[in-house]
Amino acid sequence: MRDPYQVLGLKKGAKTEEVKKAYRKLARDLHPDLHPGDAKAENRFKDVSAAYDFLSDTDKKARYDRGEIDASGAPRGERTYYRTYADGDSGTRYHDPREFFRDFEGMDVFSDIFGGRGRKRAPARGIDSRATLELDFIDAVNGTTREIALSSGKRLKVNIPPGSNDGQVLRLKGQGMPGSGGGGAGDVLIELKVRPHPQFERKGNDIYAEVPVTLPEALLGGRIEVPTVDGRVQLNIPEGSNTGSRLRLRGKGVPRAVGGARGDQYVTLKVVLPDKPDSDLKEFVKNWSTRHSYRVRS
Amino acid sequence: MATFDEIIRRYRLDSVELTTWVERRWVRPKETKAGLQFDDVDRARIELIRELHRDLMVDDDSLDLVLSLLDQLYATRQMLRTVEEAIEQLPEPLRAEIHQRLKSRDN
Repeated sequence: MRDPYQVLGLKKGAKTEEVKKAYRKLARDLHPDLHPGDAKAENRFKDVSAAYDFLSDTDKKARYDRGEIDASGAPRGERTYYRTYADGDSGTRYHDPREFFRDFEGMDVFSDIFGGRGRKRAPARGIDSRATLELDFIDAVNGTTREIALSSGKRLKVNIPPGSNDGQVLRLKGQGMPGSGGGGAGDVLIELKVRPHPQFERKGNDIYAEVPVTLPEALLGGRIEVPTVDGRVQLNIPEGSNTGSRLRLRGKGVPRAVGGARGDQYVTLKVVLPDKPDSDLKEFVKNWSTRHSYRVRS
Repeated sequence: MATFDEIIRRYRLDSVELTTWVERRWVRPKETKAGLQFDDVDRARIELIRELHRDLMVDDDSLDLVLSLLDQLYATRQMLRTVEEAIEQLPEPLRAEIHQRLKSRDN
């Protein structure tokens, strides 16, 4: 046997109180009956209890501490732990599974599994199935129809209502797994993932878009075509518009699934200079600026 | 099989202690005309109770709880094994599917 103090994780000559404490802690962690799933627990516990037995004998402990004897004692008899019986057939005297799980309504695991042995089975609703569905921004806003395949192999047509949101969950009642014992089928829950759009951004029921305009369009005003979730529409740019000017397209936002007012679309203008300003423009601006300087930074 | 007296001697218990354990149904020996008879399961259980009580310092009231939880643990283990055996008797594709699903739950 190894040094019993070492087995218990103690310094040589530790006091009886410390020995007890160390053993208690180790026994809690290692006792095979308290850890039936741990196959290694038995050997480690055997060493620990042999060490404890040895050191519990005050006489032996004192002699060992003085170096009069070594740690070899008579081997403990082979022990069959309770867990061996408990995990075998004879264990049922103390824990018949049916005794434990019978009395709780809805927790009758055995009858759930074995189809109501000796007792009427409570109707159980089928399990909900889950799925995710990825959608383009425009389809989510306007609504669409999609076919999805569930993990069970079942194919389903899904109506995506107008104005659907990212993260929204659609529930298809009764399309999930079948129930049992007269219970109804579960539902199918579909979580929507909406892909972002390069131009549109949604806030509530309004849509925001940035639209580039030319210098003359901004300065002089005019009619331009802008994209909306319904397609392109004409928009009047007032004279003297600027980068950041915001214009509203009433009723061009997100449609409501059931009645109600539709949101708006806000167009934010962005003035874009010509790619390579030509000498005319540069000459003009130079002349103009000498007479009309203005400050834009404080 | 062992008698009450043999048990007391072998496990160095006092008779009040063992009587209480039997009364509380922590140990369930067979009652025969010749008195209580303890078999291997009972003996292993007595050893466990003794260790819980003396070495792990679990007091009487807590022992009730600890044993009840342990019994539920072992009942659950047994139930799991029954389920496992039932699964092993299923046709291979079903078995594979079940293993697959259990695996995907691991993480």
